[in-house]
Amino acid sequence: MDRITSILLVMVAMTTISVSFVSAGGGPIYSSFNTPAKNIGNKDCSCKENSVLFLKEERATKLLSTFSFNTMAAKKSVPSLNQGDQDRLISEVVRFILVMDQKKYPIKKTEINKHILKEHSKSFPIIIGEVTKRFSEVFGFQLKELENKHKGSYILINELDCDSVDSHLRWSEIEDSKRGLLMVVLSLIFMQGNEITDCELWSFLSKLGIKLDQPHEVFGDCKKLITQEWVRQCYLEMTTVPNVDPPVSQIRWGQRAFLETSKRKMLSFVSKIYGIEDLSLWTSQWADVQDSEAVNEQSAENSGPSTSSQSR
Amino acid sequence: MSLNPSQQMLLQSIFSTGILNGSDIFKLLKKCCQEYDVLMEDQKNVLLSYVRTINEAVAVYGLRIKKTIDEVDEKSYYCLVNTVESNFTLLSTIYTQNELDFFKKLVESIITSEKGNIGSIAAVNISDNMSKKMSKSDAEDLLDRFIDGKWIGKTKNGRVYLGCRSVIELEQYLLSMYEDNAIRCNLCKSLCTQGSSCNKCNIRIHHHCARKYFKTMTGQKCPDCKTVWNEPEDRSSQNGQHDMDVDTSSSQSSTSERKRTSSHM
Ligand SMILES: [Zn+2]
Ligand SMILES: [Zn+2]
Repeated sequence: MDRITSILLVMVAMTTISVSFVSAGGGPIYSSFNTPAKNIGNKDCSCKENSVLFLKEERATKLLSTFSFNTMAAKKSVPSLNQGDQDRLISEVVRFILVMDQKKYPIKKTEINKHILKEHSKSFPIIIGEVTKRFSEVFGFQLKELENKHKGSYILINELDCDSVDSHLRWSEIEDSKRGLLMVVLSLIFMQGNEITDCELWSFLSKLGIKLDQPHEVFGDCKKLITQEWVRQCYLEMTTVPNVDPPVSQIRWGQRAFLETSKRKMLSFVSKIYGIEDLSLWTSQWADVQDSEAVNEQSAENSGPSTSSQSR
Repeated sequence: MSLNPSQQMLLQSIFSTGILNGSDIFKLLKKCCQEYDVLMEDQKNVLLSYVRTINEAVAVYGLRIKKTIDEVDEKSYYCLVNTVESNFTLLSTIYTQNELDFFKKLVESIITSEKGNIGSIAAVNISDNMSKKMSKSDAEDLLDRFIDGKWIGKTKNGRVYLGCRSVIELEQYLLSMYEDNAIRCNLCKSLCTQGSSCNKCNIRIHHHCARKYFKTMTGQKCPDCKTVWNEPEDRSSQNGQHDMDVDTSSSQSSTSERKRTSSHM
């Protein structure tokens, strides 16, 4: 306990200065605007609510002619999808995912069908295949379908393999600091054996001066950030332990965490702070790293090169 | 068509921030080239070729990196803009519907103002006229976020104007919605929300366009009706002076300004 707390104290001290040393692979963080922490996380990302700013103006409708032609064209040729239509739909899906990914919430197949493909929803598999290719070739992102209960949802993972790109996607200090806190939480879960109760997490965080009942000056409402925002973004997964009073939740890594980082990277991160070069000195965690990598290799062999790096 | 990793890094980075000033983009370009061992002898040419290649690759997705000049600080910025009208824009996913309503009202009150800018108190007070409640402090925070994102600009004297990102992103919308107020610059033909105008024929010119134009001729005349034109030579001191004037008049009666703005909403 004390040992990990001391790690965290060092980590937090470092993260407030800079987290660029974290080579977490880096996710696309589209902080187009320096969003204050307290404004994050309480908003639904459903497209209806976020409909375009100016659409309600009647006089602006003429401007939308470029966008509304897809429904007209679609009505004329319902059954077949010609090359032109297909190219246009691919572009629109790419654009839709790019924009919706700003909040890093997984994007559902049903949303893509409802807003873009419409009567061409049957062509989803062909379209999404081409969209995946475009993301990789043009934007350097891997479009990844999530598994288990998130099946049918997609996220973007950065494919660029470089150290500095990670920090280049975060332009505000708040985003940078939040990333640091996320690394602390993920490493804590990993070091504790991949699972931690909410009470344990809160007690760790309180030692770092992060209180649940009062807003943090940098992170704002931390409970909301951890249990809602990061869960929704699939960095964390939470389950309630049945038949326990008062209720207890178990917190684990979410699918995005496995895709953006790895247990090996996490152990290197903690070891670097300790000045330990030989990762195998952490006996149980090192065994865990090797197990997870063996599982990854196996699943990569089984399902081909396109689906890898998902580990449990 | 595909991009190489160095170009992808630049694109990802511009996409994540939305806007970069002229010096930041060169710093970023340097990083992108170093990361992938790309030789960068002439940085201007490299930037030009990167932007051109990226724009060719992303045009089909309705995106484009555009260079623009802020009307007040007169510096150049590189923005990632939408080239198609769509329900799904960067603006519409980052902000809530209520915040967008505020933005819309703010844009309207700026564009219909006499000089293309309003006081920051008047801007915050727009929250009084929202259909869904917004507190003054929330409105202040929101205004700061719009300023950070370069959607809204703020002069040293606290006047609020349309940031270069709004000008470039909303140009078509503003020109069609506010035919009387949204005027194109007579020289570069893009939207000019401030600038200086002719006393006689009412054409408008960006300050930065005017200076470039008048530099080549003796005597300043309106490019349209040839009336004598008074474009101040030193733009920066004129800017401060101009804002000072506006500011004194508004601070004398900030309450009356508030009323005026709300009655006009
Ligand atoms: Zn001009
Ligand atoms: Zn004139």
